[in-house]
Amino acid sequence: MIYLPLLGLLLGVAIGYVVNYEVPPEYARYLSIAVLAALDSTLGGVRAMLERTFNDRLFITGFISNTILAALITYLGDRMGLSLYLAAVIAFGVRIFQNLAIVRRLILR
Amino acid sequence: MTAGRHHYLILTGFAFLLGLGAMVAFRANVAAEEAAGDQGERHDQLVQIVERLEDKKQYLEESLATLRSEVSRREQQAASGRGLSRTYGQELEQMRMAAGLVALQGPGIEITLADNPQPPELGQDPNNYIIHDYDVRILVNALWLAGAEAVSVNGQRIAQGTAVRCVGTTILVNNTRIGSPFTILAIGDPVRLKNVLSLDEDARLLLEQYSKLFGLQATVDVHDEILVPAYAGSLTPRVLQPLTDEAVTVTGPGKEAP
Repeated sequence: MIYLPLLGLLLGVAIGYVVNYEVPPEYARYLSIAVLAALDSTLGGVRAMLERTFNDRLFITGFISNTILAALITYLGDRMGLSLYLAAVIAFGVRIFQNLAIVRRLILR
Repeated sequence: MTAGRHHYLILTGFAFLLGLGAMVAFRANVAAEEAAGDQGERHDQLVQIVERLEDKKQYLEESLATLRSEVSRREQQAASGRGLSRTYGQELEQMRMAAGLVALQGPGIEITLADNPQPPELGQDPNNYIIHDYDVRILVNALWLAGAEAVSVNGQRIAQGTAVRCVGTTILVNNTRIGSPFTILAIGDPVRLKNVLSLDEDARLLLEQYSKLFGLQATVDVHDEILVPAYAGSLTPRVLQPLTDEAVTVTGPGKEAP
């Protein structure tokens, strides 16, 4: 049961490898941001599971709103000629590391 | 343990999406890099082709020049003889001079133009700081207007069919790439040639206003002896034919009966 998410991850990678779908280059950055948002949400979910505060509604809305905001910021940045997507990259990046540290502590405790 | 089965399923779903997205993004990036690599390779190949063709062109021009001087020598030999062939020989030489096939000398002027050696200041249009094809055309046209008899730009004789045009960061004259600094040589009445540069509005603006404004380097020198090289390209017509029927009258815009 605990390894199910890991299995899902591997399945996703495998399908992504087999299907060989090419993203149009102008959307490649949006996909990367979405991947980062998904990584952030998944790690946040793992952390919440371990803390036993996991709430599926919070989890799903969090992921959707994060992704939408990140996409909006990226789009706005493209329009203004400013690398605004970096804001999303940094916000997600910082939280990924924080969550990873907490997950590590919760597991090793 | 409050974490229900569906919590794990949701997390699994997201992990699946994460893996899928990451893989697709990874592949897209690899594809983009490969495409960029292909383009770079293609660019290198094209540059090599251009360089090879330019070498070949140079070789052909040199052999053409040798052949032309050989023909010229033979013709002079033939013309040194009796009356009629002598007249024809002189006429031929005149035509050759007019066509730009021989190097010429005479009094005239030398115009030197160069880009601003300093990089443009921030926020300024860098196009203002370099010499363009139209700058060269303005001067060449002004010089013809003032009765120049032979004009060359960086060693390229302006002959029948010569175009001065912009290709990328260089200028093409007689299909030869030239760059800053530009030396325009013109044979003709030096006083008239020099005067036209201040009478022609475009030439005056370029040499007196823009050059000061944007730091372009422009100098005009009058010389007693200017040497203009011969046209190195081909003049052989492919489709041209002389008009033989003398009854045909030339009509065109401005020539038609009122």
